Amino acid sequence: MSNTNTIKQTGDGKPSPVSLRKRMMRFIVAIFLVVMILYLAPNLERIPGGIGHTITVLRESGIDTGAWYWDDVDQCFEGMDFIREKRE
Amino acid sequence: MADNDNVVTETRTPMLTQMHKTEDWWAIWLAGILLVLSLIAIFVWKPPVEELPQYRAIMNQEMETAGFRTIAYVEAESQLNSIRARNHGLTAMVSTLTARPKSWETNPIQSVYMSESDAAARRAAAAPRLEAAQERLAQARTEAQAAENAARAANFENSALNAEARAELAEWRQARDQHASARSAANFQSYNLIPGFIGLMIAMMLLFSLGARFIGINMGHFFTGFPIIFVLAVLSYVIANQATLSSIGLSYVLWGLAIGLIITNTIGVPQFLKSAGQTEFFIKTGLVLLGASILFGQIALIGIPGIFVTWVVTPIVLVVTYWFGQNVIKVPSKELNITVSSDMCVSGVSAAIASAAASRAKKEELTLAIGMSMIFVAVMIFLLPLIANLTGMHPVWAGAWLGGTVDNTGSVVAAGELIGREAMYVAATIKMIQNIMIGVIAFGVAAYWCLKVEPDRACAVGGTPMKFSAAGAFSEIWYRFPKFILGFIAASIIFSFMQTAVSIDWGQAMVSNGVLTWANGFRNWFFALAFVSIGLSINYSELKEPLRGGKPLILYVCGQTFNLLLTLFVAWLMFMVIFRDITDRLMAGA
Repeated sequence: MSNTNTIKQTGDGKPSPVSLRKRMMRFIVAIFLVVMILYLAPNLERIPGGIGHTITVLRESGIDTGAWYWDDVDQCFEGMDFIREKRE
Repeated sequence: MADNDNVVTETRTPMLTQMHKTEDWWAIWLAGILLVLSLIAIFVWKPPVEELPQYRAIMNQEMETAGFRTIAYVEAESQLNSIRARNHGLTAMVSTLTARPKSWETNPIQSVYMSESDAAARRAAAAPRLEAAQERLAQARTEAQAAENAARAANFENSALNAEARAELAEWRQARDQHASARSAANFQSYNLIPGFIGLMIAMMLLFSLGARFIGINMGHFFTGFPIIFVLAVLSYVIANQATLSSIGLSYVLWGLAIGLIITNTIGVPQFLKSAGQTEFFIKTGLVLLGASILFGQIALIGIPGIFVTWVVTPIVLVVTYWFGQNVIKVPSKELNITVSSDMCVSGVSAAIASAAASRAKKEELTLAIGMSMIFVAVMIFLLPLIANLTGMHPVWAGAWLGGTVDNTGSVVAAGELIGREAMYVAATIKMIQNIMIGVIAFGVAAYWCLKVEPDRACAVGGTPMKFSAAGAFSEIWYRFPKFILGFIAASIIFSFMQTAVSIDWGQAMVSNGVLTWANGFRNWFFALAFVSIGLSINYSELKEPLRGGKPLILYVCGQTFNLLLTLFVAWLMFMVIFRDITDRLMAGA
């Protein structure tokens, strides 16, 4: 194994036992998979049985579905106003 | 227990030394610097908050006279909501500086750059929509004004005229919203986020370097590796903002982990990059900033039923799930158990991060909890609204059920949207109230771990764990307690108090739309850096260990099933039986 191969470390801090060529191939395959996911993602909206339509509705709603805390979601501020108004 | 490379460790050192040599304290100092700067900024570049009472007075007077939202009410409310510290001075600059990549559909470049010609094409495409919206708005306004005048002429005592005015005003408000959306599309501007990213990267690198020097991080490695980690964090946002993927809830957290894992497990990670990936430092600083967004004043938003669905059901589910994990399926790691349990029953990613940090869970345990949660959330967004719609559940009941069970706030709102407006707002509010529990959970987990699970956590190396005595207990708890949790709680208390100290409107203008612009903007970037760093430090083989026997999966499925059933029952009991009046009020005018 060449020196170049042993400089890089895996997550556990140990030198990788796999050759550089194999590692590069795996990297390229992984990147290709991510690019394919992104390229094909819009086609999720064509899934039959109402799922595709539901995804379209969510996309067009502008809701940040991936946001995980309330202050990132505009609808939470609207929700607070809605609740306050209704409870007044 | 976790190996030293993967967890935050403390040694018995004097408190003064700890205060300038440990991550916990530096997380507090750095977040504190940002929060103090935010306070200075909102008071130096203060919005016209003195005008707030006059708009509120108009709103109160109109509500008292008419009993519903008149044109004057809505216009005063609009003026009131436009008074925000984030539109002024340094806070406006920070808002721009911490901007994240934008949504895109087919061209990822548009996430960070939009040319003037592309922007002009979008404006031209939106122009007819704006024209139509303007016409509709003018017509709706005329009709609303006429109906309101008729109701006013009868001193708002004629119920038929009042009902007609309400309906016309609702139409007008809807037309206003559509006009605002069309105007925004027709005024679309070109953008280039790259210079801002460079500025943000330098600002964050300098900020963390303040602490890195004292903590003992190799500064050469840090300055070399940080820009790469930042670029990977930007990439995680770009991927996450693909419009379709984003709409099913796959957030930057998941992509940050995936990018890091791909690099580590293929080409490998050089030492300087590992040194720059200071996961715990980024997470703890982000958590202290998160504390500023945990506003206790929101607990009472929806009244007692909301408190029951969140603050009674959630702790029960958490304790039962943790007990089930320990005693029935025997999850090998208590840290993994509490991280999965909190993630599943409190509020997804935010609770998982807080619990993992408080219990010193391994990075792969946090990764596993978040990965499972995101996959289940993507299913629940579709499944739960489908069940609610097919069974004809009441929107308020369904909203409370979603808010109490779906893991992340954005996903809760998306699932609510599939049922209806009322369900969405109730779900969002229930989730916000549940979010507040993160502070209590983090404090409780940290206390339980340092007193019960790892009583010798912070004792001297080789020393015998100390027995607690009434006299020594407080100082021991103080010594052993993870200090960043105290920063997190302190931020929550200070800003909860500040938000309600003057008035709700002042709090909205200065805290929610001022201080939180800083806290939220930086916090999300810190977490993006942290998740890329976690991915960069995990081997695939390390993920297999906690997954052995499928126990975390069984824990999640059993816990979530219990959560879904208990929340369904308690939400029904609270909103449909005991506090039916609140439900009816929420549905009034629907």
